[in-house]
Amino acid sequence: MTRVLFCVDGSDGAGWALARGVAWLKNADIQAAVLHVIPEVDERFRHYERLHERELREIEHLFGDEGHGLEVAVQARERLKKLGFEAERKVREGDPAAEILAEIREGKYDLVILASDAAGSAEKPRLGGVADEVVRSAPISVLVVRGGGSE
Amino acid sequence: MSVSGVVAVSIFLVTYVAIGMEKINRTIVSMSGAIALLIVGILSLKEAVTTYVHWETVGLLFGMFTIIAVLSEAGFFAWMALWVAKMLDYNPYRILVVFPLVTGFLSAFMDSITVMLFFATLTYELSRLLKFDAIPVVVSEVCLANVGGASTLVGDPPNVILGLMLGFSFNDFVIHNGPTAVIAALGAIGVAYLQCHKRLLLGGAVDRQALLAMDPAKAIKDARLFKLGLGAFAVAIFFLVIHAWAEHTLHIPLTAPLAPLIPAFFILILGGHKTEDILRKIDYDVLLFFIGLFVVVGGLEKTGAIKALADFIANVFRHQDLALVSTLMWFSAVSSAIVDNVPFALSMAYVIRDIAGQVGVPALAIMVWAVSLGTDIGGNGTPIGASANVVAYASMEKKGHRIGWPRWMLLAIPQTMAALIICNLGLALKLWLKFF
Repeated sequence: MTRVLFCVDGSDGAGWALARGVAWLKNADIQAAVLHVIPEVDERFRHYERLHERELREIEHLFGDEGHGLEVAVQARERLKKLGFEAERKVREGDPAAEILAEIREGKYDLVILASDAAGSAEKPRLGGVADEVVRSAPISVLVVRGGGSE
Repeated sequence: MSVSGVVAVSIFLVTYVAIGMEKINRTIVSMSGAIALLIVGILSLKEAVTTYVHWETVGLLFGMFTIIAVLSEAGFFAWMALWVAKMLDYNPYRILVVFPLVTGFLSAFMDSITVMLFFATLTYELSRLLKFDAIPVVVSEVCLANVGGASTLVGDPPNVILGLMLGFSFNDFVIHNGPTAVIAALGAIGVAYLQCHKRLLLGGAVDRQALLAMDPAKAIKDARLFKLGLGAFAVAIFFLVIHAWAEHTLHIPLTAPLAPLIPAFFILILGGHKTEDILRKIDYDVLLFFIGLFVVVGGLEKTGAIKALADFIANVFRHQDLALVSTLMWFSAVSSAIVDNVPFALSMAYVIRDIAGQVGVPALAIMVWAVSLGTDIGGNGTPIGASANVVAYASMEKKGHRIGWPRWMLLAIPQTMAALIICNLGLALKLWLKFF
């Protein structure tokens, strides 16, 4: 069984990468996980968030929001379910590339799929910073799906 | 300029730049700057503590922070947003107009950072259910929070500094800044509506049943604390309104800082087992930040650097009242968009006090209104212009909705310009009527 990590961030590009990845792997025996990395935010915000953390979590609970960016991972997992795959959901917080690489090491994946998060052309393709860093540093195969399509 | 003046200016500039760069916690930066001044002997510790740290400002802020901590612990902000949304029948267009007016009103009396921390989250949650774009609403909420904060003494830290250091009361701000801020807020929200109403809705099914079932009362976590907090808040505002009369006519020593401090300590005493939670929510970081800044800017004042700047400005604008007042407002606005507005306001408090002592310049009061309006409102222009902006921006980013500087500025700058133009016209009218 191939362990596959889908990296999502709530963007259309990530949704496209997820859909294309699944389409290519539809006949494979895979164990999937979706990972959303909540980006590092301003330290001043984190200071105020810590002061009022309980109230903010209560507000999210009041609205049925699982919070902490889980919603992005949940939506991605739901998409995978519609396409016939069960998946674990993972959420980390920090530098996106570093957290993806940490998850790869800890989760013992065989393949990671993510979107190319920069614009480019067919003649001069470019990788975004996160995809570039993951391609350079990941110890496993990386499938970068170019954007521009829709599910 | 003397050697000590050069050293004081250098320490001030390094502190200011380090605060702006945000690589090191700003409280640590300001306290380090203060300690540097003590080490080089420009100020003694006694001088710093007794002459330059403005304890009235620290006391007033502590009182207001305590009352707001109680209200947030009780669920006041969530209740307020849900109650207003229910009154508006959960209509996104009405939310686009009314929520910013609510944040503007609340920020006139409470610190806008806490207001925006909750309202950014609440607006995002409502936008998920009602399928509208939260970003333009949140940006407008921030813009009007900063405009609303200009209208009273306690609305924004720059106003607290300018008012208490230069002798202007809560009622002075309400009478002189209040009407201008209200009209500026209406102008800003008008621009916001024109910018955003056509692209507000995102499409998708809205679960109205879930919304109608939502009871604002459920947002109140502690009914007793809720009532205590609102009561304390009302008493604080009442004391702020009457304190000048009580001091001068009744000879009761009810100073502006005591106005929130008295009800704050009462609710700490009555808070019971919640008192510790409340005390943990008070932003001591900001109080220490202020203490450090008072010392750093005090170094400029003592060495004559501020007087030199004030003399220069007075010479350039002698007998040109409208030009000076307008320049102060716009310079404050632009600076505030780029750098932290608290050290800026503190420096300007000394500068305009020195300018007012010269011949051929306008009265101190009109300069205070110009600096406060510019400093409070100008901060809207960028995501880092004010702490309320930072909090709202990061709050949306954490939810996966990165606003980005271009989009923020495209939304905020027109609203800010509308507000500032109205403020400049208001200041010109006050000069013409000699009503300041």
